[in-house]
Amino acid sequence: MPKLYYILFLLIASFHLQAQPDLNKERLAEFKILTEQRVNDLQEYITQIGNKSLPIEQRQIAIDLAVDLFEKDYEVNGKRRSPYIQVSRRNGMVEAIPVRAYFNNLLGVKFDKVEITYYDAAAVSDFEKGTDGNYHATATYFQQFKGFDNSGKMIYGSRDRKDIRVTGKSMAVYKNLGKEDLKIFFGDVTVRETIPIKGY
Amino acid sequence: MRLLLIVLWAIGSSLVGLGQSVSEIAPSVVADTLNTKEFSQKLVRNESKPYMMWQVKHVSEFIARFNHEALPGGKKFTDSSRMEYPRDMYLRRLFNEDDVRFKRTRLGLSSLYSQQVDEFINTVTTHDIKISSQSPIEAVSKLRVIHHHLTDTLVVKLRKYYTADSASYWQIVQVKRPQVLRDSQSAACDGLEKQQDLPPNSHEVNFLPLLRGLSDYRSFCPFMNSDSRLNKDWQCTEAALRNGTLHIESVVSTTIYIPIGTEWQLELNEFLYEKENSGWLISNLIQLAHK
Repeated sequence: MPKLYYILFLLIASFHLQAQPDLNKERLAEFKILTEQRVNDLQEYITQIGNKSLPIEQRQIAIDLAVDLFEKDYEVNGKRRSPYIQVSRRNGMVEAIPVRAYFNNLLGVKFDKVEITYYDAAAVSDFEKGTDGNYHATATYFQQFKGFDNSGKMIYGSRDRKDIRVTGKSMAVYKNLGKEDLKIFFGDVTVRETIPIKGY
Repeated sequence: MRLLLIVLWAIGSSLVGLGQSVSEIAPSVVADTLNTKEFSQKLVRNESKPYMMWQVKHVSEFIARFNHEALPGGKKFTDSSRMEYPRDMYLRRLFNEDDVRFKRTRLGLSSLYSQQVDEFINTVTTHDIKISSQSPIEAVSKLRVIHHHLTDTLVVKLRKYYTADSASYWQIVQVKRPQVLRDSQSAACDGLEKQQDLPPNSHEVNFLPLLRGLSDYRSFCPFMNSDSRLNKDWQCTEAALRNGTLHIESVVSTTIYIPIGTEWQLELNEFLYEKENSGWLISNLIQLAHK
């Protein structure tokens, strides 16, 4: 009888191994679409955070929701680190700060009114497999930012390109079906000014 | 008997998973996102400008365009679009058009570089040369560092490696010490460091995962190829990083190198302009025999 259980155990193990294959191209294409939707979510949150006409509580909730889209802090050498956002301006200024600090800065901008414009859908690169078993891609989108004073005069404006490192983490989302799938998280972001907007 | 039934049920569950098609799973995956109607606040979205489509946004996109496999925006070529964008013309658009070497002399002559580019495009088109998806790409990243209140640049060379199960990662192969580091201190990895492979797309975000990693570990060891650790420049930089006198602030720029056959190497840099000829473009064509 124990031999029978041993054989059955091996059978189950082999089925589970087959049920967790590398993701095929069609499935990765689906995750490209999901990434585009996640970028839309992020853009919604950024618009909320920058909208000074909204109550501060609502804008702070938007920060929490935006931060939730990013990889959770991980511990290395006893330190907790979150993804970085590196902002590069055409005047040579380069600054790398943690994600939450970046959104808090946006919450505290000195302008009386902020206007953010996006352009169509994000361009998402093909997903590549990493040695950690996760799949990695890059999502890119363009954003126009304008800041106005209380008289409606534009005092700052720029058009930026944002590149977001996207990680598809292997997770047993459909565990009840014995199916491995991916969960999308954002990682490090580069924000690069493509052009300062005239008029300020 | 009960145990036997449980075991048979488990096998059945595994089979359900195997039979599930992408289309059956995908809608629920896609639905796992924000309900934007509840949260929407005047998000303004304009139509993309032509340069946003044409800009080569990722190195993988550069490779797809070099191989004449994808149109701007990632769409696959059709027979008619192939006619509209013949490969030689498409390849030429991957070179930085503002390179002064493309300007003709007063006598209307083209430069040696310009002739070299013509020859290269002709060779690639005639022999249908393509870049492999597992091409041994290299990158040179310049990091802004501060040592005793002095700012300088640290140059790090990385190489993309591929494993047998089609995964890939970046690893440092060379460190060039900043000039502000005058002391020749030595350092060594103790061999116990856990290897940290940098994600395959780190180059698309200026190697920020490396920047964070160097800040976490205060050492190059987890990110370095073991063959590269004997280098004096690395030892000196490693010692300064460990004793806390060297601070790495940001990544200033990244240059990519892609081999084309055995004779050529492409140098790519990012040109962020608001025009169609922008993004990852060829900034130099290197003939390896003359390198």
